[in-house]
Order: sequence, then C-alpha cells, then structure tokens
Amino acid sequence: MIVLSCGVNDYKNVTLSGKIDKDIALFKNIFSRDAVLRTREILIGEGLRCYMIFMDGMVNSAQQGETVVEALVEANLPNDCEVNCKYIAQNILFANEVTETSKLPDMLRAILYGDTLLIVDKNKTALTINTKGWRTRGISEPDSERVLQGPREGFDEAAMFNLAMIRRKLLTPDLCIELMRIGRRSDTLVFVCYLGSLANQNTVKELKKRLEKINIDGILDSNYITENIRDNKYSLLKTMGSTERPDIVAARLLEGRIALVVDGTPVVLTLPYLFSENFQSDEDYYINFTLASFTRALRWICFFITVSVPGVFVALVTHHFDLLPTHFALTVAKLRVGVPISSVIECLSLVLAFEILKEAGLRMQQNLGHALGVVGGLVVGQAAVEAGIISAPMLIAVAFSAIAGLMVPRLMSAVFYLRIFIIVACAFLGLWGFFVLSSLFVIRVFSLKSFGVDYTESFARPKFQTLKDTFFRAPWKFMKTRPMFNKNRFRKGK
Amino acid sequence: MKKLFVLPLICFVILLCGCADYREIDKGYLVTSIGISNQENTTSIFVEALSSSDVISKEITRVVLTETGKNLKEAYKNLQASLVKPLYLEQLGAVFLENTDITPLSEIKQLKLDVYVVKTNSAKALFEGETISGVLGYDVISLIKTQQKNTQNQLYKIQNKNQTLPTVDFLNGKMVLSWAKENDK
Amino acid sequence: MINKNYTLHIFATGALFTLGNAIMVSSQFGVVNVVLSIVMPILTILLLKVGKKNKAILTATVVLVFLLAVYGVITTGMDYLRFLTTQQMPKTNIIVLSAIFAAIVIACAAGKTHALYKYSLFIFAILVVIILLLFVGGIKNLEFKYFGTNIFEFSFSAKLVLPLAVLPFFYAKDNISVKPTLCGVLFGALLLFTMVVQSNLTLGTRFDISYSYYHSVGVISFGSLFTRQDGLVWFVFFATALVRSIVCAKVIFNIVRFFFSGNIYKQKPL
Repeated sequence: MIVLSCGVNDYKNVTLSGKIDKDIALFKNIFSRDAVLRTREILIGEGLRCYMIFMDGMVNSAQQGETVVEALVEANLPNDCEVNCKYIAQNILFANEVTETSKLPDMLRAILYGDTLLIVDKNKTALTINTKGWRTRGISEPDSERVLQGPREGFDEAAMFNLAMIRRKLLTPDLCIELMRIGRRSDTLVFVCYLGSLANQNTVKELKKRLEKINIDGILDSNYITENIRDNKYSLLKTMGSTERPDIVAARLLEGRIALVVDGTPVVLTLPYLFSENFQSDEDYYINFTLASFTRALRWICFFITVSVPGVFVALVTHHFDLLPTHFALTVAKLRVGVPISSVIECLSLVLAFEILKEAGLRMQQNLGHALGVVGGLVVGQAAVEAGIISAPMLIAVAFSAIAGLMVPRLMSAVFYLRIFIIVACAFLGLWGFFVLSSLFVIRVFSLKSFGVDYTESFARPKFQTLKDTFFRAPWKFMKTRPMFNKNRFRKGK
Repeated sequence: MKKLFVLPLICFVILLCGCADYREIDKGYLVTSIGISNQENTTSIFVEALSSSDVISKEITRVVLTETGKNLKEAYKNLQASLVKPLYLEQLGAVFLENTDITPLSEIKQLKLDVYVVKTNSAKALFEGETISGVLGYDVISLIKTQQKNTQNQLYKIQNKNQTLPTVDFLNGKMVLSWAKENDK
Repeated sequence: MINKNYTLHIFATGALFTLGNAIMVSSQFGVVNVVLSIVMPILTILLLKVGKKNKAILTATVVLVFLLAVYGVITTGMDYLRFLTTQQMPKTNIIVLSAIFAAIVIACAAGKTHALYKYSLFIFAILVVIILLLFVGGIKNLEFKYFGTNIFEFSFSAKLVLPLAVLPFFYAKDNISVKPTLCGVLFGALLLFTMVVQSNLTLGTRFDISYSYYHSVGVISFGSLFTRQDGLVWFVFFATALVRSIVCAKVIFNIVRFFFSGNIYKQKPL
C-alpha cells in the first residue's frame, strides 16, 4: 500500500508493532518511492534480529561500519539478560550519540537527517544513532561580508556546525539554544539562540509565537522566515538583521539580541534590528575607532548622497536654474544639446543601466566579470555620451550616486526604490518633491518597530551612551552600556 | 490593506500636478542682461541671451534680441511672443536703464533682488558692441566689482531708497564705467 | 505619562512651531506681541491646570484652543502655499499642491506622536545649523545703517502669537511639560529674531513676503560655487510649516476624540 504523505507529522499516531517483519515493511512502504533508502539485517548474538535503516549518501559509512555494524555483529549477548534497545544502546553500540524513541516521526526524522535507525525484534522502540556524514561546504569567508582585519570564518549550510561556531565564541552555559521545526514538507530545523541573562524574554516569546504561526511547505532559506515574521511586511527597510559571520552573531547576542539559525542556509537572522545597524560594518570593531568613526560617518553621508543626488540634480536642471552657479548652468546646457531624451528619462535610464550592470556583474562568471565591467562602465558610458544619447553631467551624477550606494549594501533595495521615487517626485515637483518625499521617508523610519523595539531607538534618547555606536564608533573604553532594549544594560563591571 | 492604497494615491496626486514647472535647461534662452530704453512714447527692450541651439558645434551662442512697445510690459510681451523658445531669467546678471528709472522693472516678475542695475546713455550701442568675455552682463558685473568692491547698485539696495547708480557706456570700442555725482533712483 | 527622555524633543517641537512663521508676515506688531507670544502658552497651561478642577473653564479652554488650532493650521497652510506658488513653483496648480500638503499633514497628524517628536528633533538639529551658517555667511552683507529704522518693525502677525496657545495643549495629554515647551518657544523666537535681523539689515526693508528671509539669503554668496542658498531656505520653510501644521492638526484630532470618547487623557501609548 502506497501511503501519500506531506510530512513526518502525518505519522504521529503510528507506532511500531514489535514484529520486525511488519515494522520493516512499514518503513519500506513509507519510502516505497525512495531509491536511496538502505536497509541491512543484522543478527545479534545467537539470533536476535535487527534492521539498520539509513539513507545512502547521508551517513558516514566508515563511522557507521565501526560504531554500529561491527559492534552489533561482534556482540556477545549474555544468556540471563533481556536484550532490548536500552541494553543495546548502553552495552553494545560504540556510537557517541544514541537515542531511544517510540515516536515514528522522530524515527523518520532521524533517517532523513543522516542518522541510522536500528529497529529490534520484539521491541516497540527504536534506536537513532548519530552517523551523519553528509558533505558540507566547509568554513569559508562570506563574499558579501569581507573584512581586511578580523576573523574570516563564515557559516555554511549545516546548522549544527554553525551553532558550534557560535558556541566557540561564547563559552558560557548562558547561551540558550531552542529547537523548532518549521515547514510541512521540509521540516527544517530552526534554532532560536539567545543569552538567557540578556535577552528580553517577551521578545523571545513573541518570536516563538510568530514562528509557530508560519504555515508553509518548506523553508529553504532564512528569508522565507523573515518575510513571514517581520514587522511591517511591505516596508522597504529591513527590520531583521542577517549575517553569515559567527563573530557578528556572537556580538549581537552579547547585546541582548536573538539569533535564528536555520538549517540549510548560511544566513543567520538576528533581531531586534535597528536602523543604525544598516551603517555598521563588520570590521568597525576590529580597527581603530578613529578610522571606524570616519568610515561610519562616511556611510551615513553616502546614503544621503545615493538617494538624493540624482533627484536633486534633475530638480536643479529642470525646475530651479537659479540655484545653479552660472558657469555650471551654461556647461550643463551646452552638454545637453542634441540629447534626444528629457532629463528625467535620461536619469531613470542611467539608474536602470547601472542596476543592470550591477546585477549582471553578480551573475556572470568571475573571469568575465572584470573585463565586462570595464566594457560596461567605461566604454559604453563614454560612447553613449559621445553619441549624444546621454549627457556627461547626468552620467556623472548617477555614477557618483551608484558608487556611493555601494557603501551601504544592507540598504540596497531601499536605496533603489527611494532613488526612483525621489527622481520622479523631483521631476514633477522640483525640490519641493524632494523635501516632501524625504520628510515622509524620515517620518516613516521613525515610526517603524522591530519586535517591539523602536527602529530608531538612538534618536528617542539622544545621549552619548545611546549615540556612541550610531554616527561614529566610540572607543571601547566608553562602550559601557548595551542597547536600550536590553534588560541588563551594563556591559562592564556588572 | 488601507496602507497599500495610500502610496498609489499619493503617486496619483503627485502626477496630477502635470509637470507644470518642468523645463529643459537647453530648450530656452538663458538671459544674462536686459536693457531698457525709453524714448518718448516708445520703450525698447534689449535682451542678451545664451542659446544652446547649435546642434552641430554644440556650443553656446550669444544672441541679442530686441523688441519695442508702448511700455516695458508691452515690449516684453511682444518679445516673448516673437520667440520660438522661452526666456529664462534665472541667470540674469544686470539690467541697463536708458532714460528711465527702476519703476518699470516691477513688471518683470521673475527678477531676482540681487540683479545689478546700471544706467547707460545708449543701450543699443552697449548691446551691439564687443564684449570681453563674450557676455555683456558678466563683463559689467566684473567691471563693477573690480572698480568698487562694495557694490550698492543691486536691485534690493536701490528699491525705495536714494541710491547712486553707475553708468556704463561703450566708447571707442571700450566699455567705460563711471559713477554719477547727482542722486538718482 | 510622557517619558522624561522626550524633553529635548518637546523643546525642538516648540522651537519649530515658533519658527513656522519664518515665511511671511502681514501687519505690523510691536514688542508687545512678542511678549504675548511667550505669555500665551503659559496662560493655556494655567487654564488647563485650573480646568482640571473646573469643567466650565476646561470646556472654554478646549473650545478656544480648538479654534486657535484651526486658525493655526489654515493660516500656516495658506501662508506656506502662498510662498510656494509665488516663489518656488509658480506654474503648478495650487489645488494639487494644497492637496499634497494637506495629505501629508493629515497622515502625519494621524500617525504616532513619537515619530513626530523624533522628526522634530532631527529637523531642528539640521535647521539650527542651516540658520546659523546662513547668518554667519551673511554677516558681511549686514548694513547696520538700517538698524534704527527697521529693526522693531517685526511685522509678525497674529498668526505667530495666537496659535502658540495650542502648543501646551499638544503636550497636555502626555503630561504638561512646561519648561521644555517654553524654552523651545523662546529658542524658536530667538532664531526667528536672528532671521528677521538678517533680513532687515541685509535688505534694509521691513520683513514681509516680498522682502522675506528667503530673499535676504538669496543675495548672499560663499565664493563662486555657492551663490544662491535659496534651496536651503525653502527647506527651512517647508519643515517649520509642516511641523506647525501637524501640531495644530493633532490638537484638532485630539479634541475631536475628546468629544467622542469623553476623555482627552485616554490615548494610545507612544
């Protein structure tokens, strides 16, 4: 009988019968269309039958052979003792992690996750033995979060290894790791990590409540979770942080935040997330505070430049000539002669062209990337100006804005849309359109929340201790307190 | 759901304004100086403008436009009607007055308060004469600033006040600046 | 109860509210009205305190403040739109501009108060820098020979003075924060006085829509690159008019809610 199911939880009411032939038939039935499932019958001692069930490719064959097969085959069973799963687990198997379970969903999870399941005749429970051996990518530096100075570890797709990396940074029993499974079909492991003495328990409860409400087939990446649980689902701005670096996760946990480690993706989520974090770089804390402060301030300025320069330039050359210095106005007029498209369309086309170049640069093969980047950026741009399709001042304004935008990678999606909206508003309403839109954006940012915490918490209480890590990075000597949402605020001495 | 309607509504309202103030900088005359000559019952207006109309050479060309009317308002209106491109007064540097005071200037609404006002004995000669830098208005402003650093003939300084205005004339192929002794508005 | 941490924000909102009249003026006033502008908020605070015990006084205060708030939001909106349509965007349809401005004011007034507080503080920091920079840059253009004739012709209208009574009512539902409100008003008046002085001593004329602060800034220059700073002044006018309109609109909303719910002190947390 072929049983159609969508997830392991469909079998929560099914139990083992204790008759090994029937039980093995049950497993073969469940995995009837899975060509990867393997079973092996072993006779323990003088005839106690048991079956090993596992997935080929998921187990470490050598480890399985040594710790399970060899142990079982060479086992000498005593005559006066009842041999059951508990006895086998305690006395026969060499594996480091053996769990006895009677629940079929747990047994299925074990098989699917790379463990070996051992079912024993005349026993209604089974043993799950840790023999995981699936391949992982290994530790490498994340491409999107490179640093010049500091740790270069990055997460990979195995949640267990990722948790181990975090654990190595925080050698404290205070580190709490709670497991949840999300996804009807994927049954993805999601670990909620926090430091018990620092994290706000209400936030943890709220997070778990939202995670439990997720009703989805499968979680393949942490962004699936982000879009389901974040505040202000349609906002352009991120209200949950993400990182691929264990040192960053550890730093955020030490600030009282909560991390979500999702199996199958190297991206770990952190919350609550503040607006000022968009301007923080990973190595701000690994280099001298003077340089870090300068680059931090530069990022804030670059954000302003990248969203406003194209729009303001359009406003100045289409509505407010009087604000331009005279010689510059003449230069702009001269260079626009013969350009067939209006200034607004020119600007929007250039913004789009830069986005295409950026996207193409991400997708193409690395050995082609450099050459095409030169072609796209220099040759095409130069040729377009000489052909009279676009004007040089507009190209410079948009290019400058695009380069400035690379300084704030965490705000990329917000920057793109904001830039477009501001250009259109400036085209219709001149500088007034810029004032209106930027004011609305600022008010919107000030009204956002991230899991009950003000998105712009630093601006709510503008004191040195709240602003010390926003526009600049104060020396470690002055980093006395954690963020305000933390229940244990003092970083030093307490 | 309500919030999702707000953004398209705001966009719609913004679009309704119809780009009324939208202009392309190269599609009009950038006026650098204006001359007003009052002769008996006729007022002549001279406008020096920079036009980016030469598509082949892509250079800015200086043009001098003239028109007459019963008064300044009419002359200005006639001038605008005769042109194929609009006049942009945002970069206006100087206004030359021949046989008139500054009273008619209120009819040109886009005049900035920092425009230099200069008297002249012949606006026509001035506008038709040769310039040093290629732009009459900027030549005169440079001349005023070189000869007297503390300029007192910007429009906001002379409106409703007694103020001496300098006189600029084109004599013997050269631009000459002089300051009259009697008070004049 | 308002969080003590919002003291600076209240100060900033008060200052911006007073600065909301930087755009224009109409009839002339004397020093008396400047003093009255400081007295009005105090008067309203006192009336509110007395009104807690006496319902008739409370009702009268509420009605008076409601009318002043309506007056404030309409006059501020009209003044700003008049400036916008004459100086900044002469050809755009005034109805469209009014609709956009009104929509922004209503949306922000209906939104969260703490967002407005933070926006006020943020804008206040920027505006103080702008106003001081423009004053410093325009010092060489000041001509003190105009000092005797024009400096006391402030030309502030009732639009500056009367709506100031609305301010304490804005904070009343959270807690009457007297000191930061008054300090904000005083600081705003000081900045406004700076703008008036700069305008009078630069242009040499009385402060009105044709010879406003905007025009005085337009004639100053910093070298050959920064020749016309009008854009900065446009932003000053926009931000101050916006904050002033939002505060008045919020007071109107709160009073209307009072009549429906019967308790103006019952409000959503920040």
